[in-house]
Amino acid sequence: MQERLAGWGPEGQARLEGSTAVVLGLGGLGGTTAMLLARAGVGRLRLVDPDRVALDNLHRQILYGEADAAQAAPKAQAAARRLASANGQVRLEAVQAEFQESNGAELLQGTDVVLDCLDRPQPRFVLNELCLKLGLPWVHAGVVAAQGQLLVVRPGTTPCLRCWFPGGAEPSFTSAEHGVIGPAASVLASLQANEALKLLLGQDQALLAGMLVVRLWPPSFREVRFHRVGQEPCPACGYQAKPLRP
Amino acid sequence: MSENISIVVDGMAEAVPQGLSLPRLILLHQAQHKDLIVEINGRFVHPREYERVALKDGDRVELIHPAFGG
Repeated sequence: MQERLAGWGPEGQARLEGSTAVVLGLGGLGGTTAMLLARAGVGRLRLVDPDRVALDNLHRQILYGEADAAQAAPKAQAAARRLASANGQVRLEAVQAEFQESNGAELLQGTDVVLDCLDRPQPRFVLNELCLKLGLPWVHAGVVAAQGQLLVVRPGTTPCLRCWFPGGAEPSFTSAEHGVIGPAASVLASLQANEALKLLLGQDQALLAGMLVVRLWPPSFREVRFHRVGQEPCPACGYQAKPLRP
Repeated sequence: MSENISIVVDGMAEAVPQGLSLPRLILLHQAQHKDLIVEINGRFVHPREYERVALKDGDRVELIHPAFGG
């Protein structure tokens, strides 16, 4: 059915089947994102997470069940089992590891798009630097409580994560303190998978241009446009802002 | 006595003194985090520009705390 969408078609489906995506983090965001990409028919998925399933994950981490929590199953392996049952044609690589500077290039090797579903700010900036170096497009999503943000980074074309956060980030608003609700994680993850599919299908004209800020309590969706005319270039990517759309 | 202007911050109407600077507004809202994203009338404001921004009547300001959980 999805092939009927304008800009998708059998050619797009074949393109997806020949694509590889890596999902970094398999929590509330990564589980849903990975499931949507697997069901859409992305040919190869690399699933990366160092953690094991815990009972207090289950309200938002839809790939896992009580049995996984009881066994403290590694998330990467549990996710791969669940995704295989959803689409047996996807080649799945489960990697129980933490994404970091030392193993980052290896984890991204051979992929066409990166899904940033990490759970802390610092490794996201490592990912930013690495994707700039490799020229690899990636989709950032983050969620805490009932809100989050989404950003598509295409090195050389769009502002990078450092452009948006020139001072870096601090864990001032954390899920440890404020929790995460399941619907917020699922909404952000769905939007994230949607942008990744556009990237893989070559539908660049349909991509999110700015940063989408999503709040669910009460609900609002707003796209913030980047603007830094006359400022110095970004120290990470060299991007000197201009309006992304006239 | 300075006149007030009307702005909207995070969706709530607010009366603030004319000429109020953006850093002062951030301070008033206790939002001085280094990863704060400020949006005025739909456009991102780079932190280097904060000092140069004087708020105008009718401005719509969003003080966005990014969520880095997963």
